[in-house]
Amino acid sequence: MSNTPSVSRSVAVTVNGTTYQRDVAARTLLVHFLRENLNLTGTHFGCDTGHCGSCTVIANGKLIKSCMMLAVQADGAQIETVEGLAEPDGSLSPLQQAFSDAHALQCGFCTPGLMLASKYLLEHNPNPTEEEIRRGIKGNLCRCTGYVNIVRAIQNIAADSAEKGDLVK
Amino acid sequence: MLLKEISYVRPHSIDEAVALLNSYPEAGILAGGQSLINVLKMRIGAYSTLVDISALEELKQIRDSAEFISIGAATTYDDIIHSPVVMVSRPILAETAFRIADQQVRNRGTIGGNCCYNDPTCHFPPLLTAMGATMQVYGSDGMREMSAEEFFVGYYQTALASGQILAGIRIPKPKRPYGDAFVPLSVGGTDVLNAVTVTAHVELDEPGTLTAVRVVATGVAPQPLRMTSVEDFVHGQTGQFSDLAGAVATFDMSSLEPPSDVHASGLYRRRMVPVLARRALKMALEQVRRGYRE
Ligand SMILES: Cc1cc2nc3c(=O)[nH]c(=O)nc-3n(C[C@H](O)[C@H](O)[C@H](O)COP(=O)(O)OP(=O)(O)OC[C@H]3O[C@@H](n4cnc5c(N)ncnc54)[C@H](O)[C@@H]3O)c2cc1C
Ligand code: FES
Ligand code: FES
Repeated sequence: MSNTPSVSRSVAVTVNGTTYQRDVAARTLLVHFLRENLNLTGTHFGCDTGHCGSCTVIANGKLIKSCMMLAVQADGAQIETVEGLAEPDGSLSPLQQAFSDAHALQCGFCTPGLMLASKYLLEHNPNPTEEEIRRGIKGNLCRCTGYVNIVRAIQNIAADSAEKGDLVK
Repeated sequence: MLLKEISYVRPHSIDEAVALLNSYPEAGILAGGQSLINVLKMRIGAYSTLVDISALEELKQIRDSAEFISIGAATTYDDIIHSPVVMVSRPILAETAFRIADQQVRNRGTIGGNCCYNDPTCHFPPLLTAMGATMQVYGSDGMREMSAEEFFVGYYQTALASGQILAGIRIPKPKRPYGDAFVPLSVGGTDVLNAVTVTAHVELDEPGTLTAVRVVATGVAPQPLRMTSVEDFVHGQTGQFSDLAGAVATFDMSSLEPPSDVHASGLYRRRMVPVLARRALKMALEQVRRGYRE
């Protein structure tokens, strides 16, 4: 058999445009790979059971929870994390600015995951209703804000981009 | 949580996946991982080798034919939701997939994983039972087919033998007009944690009588349970049939011994069965009358 199981593998994972080649144990979760092997600690780690969404990233264009996937499964994948949101000069992206303007965060623990969920939602549905927004961020828990300002931030940016006629970056 | 040391392999074909399962003693399939990764974290189950089928295109196809649609076991909920074939031929599959958890879980979780995990709160086992689906099981001796009722044998148990995988699911296209309803009692908020679910299917034939009636309750018995006395009562009635209470009263609820847990007591579950059964039948019959699924 050409393909044999192994307890560790060499993987190439592209995160925010940079390709990292690493040896990784098969039991390593993607969230730990990002945080500990690549030192990208913007992706948070909360419940470890797939419920809170703080570890949310985008993998091959799909919104996922990185505590529910193995790092070896990301071999060859393109991953987007919160570190990739800001503009190249370090200024906030429109989405980040909208969160800041609407005071859509308090402690900030949920924020990286919520911003990626918002980005994914707006890419698929640029003009969501409030109900669609709440459904779109259902997998992301926030213990602080009560969600009202998060929903408002997403509404504001949707209205803004409709005005400017461009899609959310 | 750190998983136990584990081996991993990504097969390139379904034959290779089956060969790997049969070559390594404690090998198991990894599909969407949305249940299995938690099972491994909590040390509830232990595979020493994971055979990852989540990227196997061969198992992710949705195919249309005259009498069936076939869905590959590794097809994600999100792919089902966005499938034009499903939308035209059996929209209840997409509507039900859309109810599961959240966008992240729907992007990874698979219909095959949902069936093989067969948690009593899983959405697809009762739905596929009510639809009269056929499960396609692949092993080293080739493909075998069995009905959904034969496949779901108990809590977290399926008829899969070791070394076999679920390759796909074949869903019949019903005669039109028909009705399909999925009515859960969600105890964790909207569509979260279905303690009891009743699914119903009915078709109206040429002479105007109800046929192919299937009513299935889950969460109250080890398997998705066909409420056959209710089915028999409704079968052969006209499309205007409305005695839902009479139909549901034929079923002996006292025969059910549902489990009690933190989410719902056994008594509560049992008492909700007739309520949900009436609602599911009502919804399916309304669809038939409106020609909603025509
Ligand atoms: C936060 C959260 C909420 C959830 N809520 C719901 C819900 O409301 N309703 C619901 O139905 N589910 C829910 N789930 C579970 C989810 O739907 C899982 O995706 C599903 O139970 C398993 O599918 P999977 O593809 O992820 O399989 P995996 O987790 O990869 O596998 C599950 C089991 O099935 C076996 N298996 C998988 N595919 C095959 C195959 N083709 N052949 C043989 N064996 C196979 C595996 O070996 C494993 O034992 C939830 C999960 C999470 C994390
Ligand atoms: S840490 Fe992944 S969902 Fe909570
Ligand atoms: S801002 Fe604290 S959890 Fe959301």
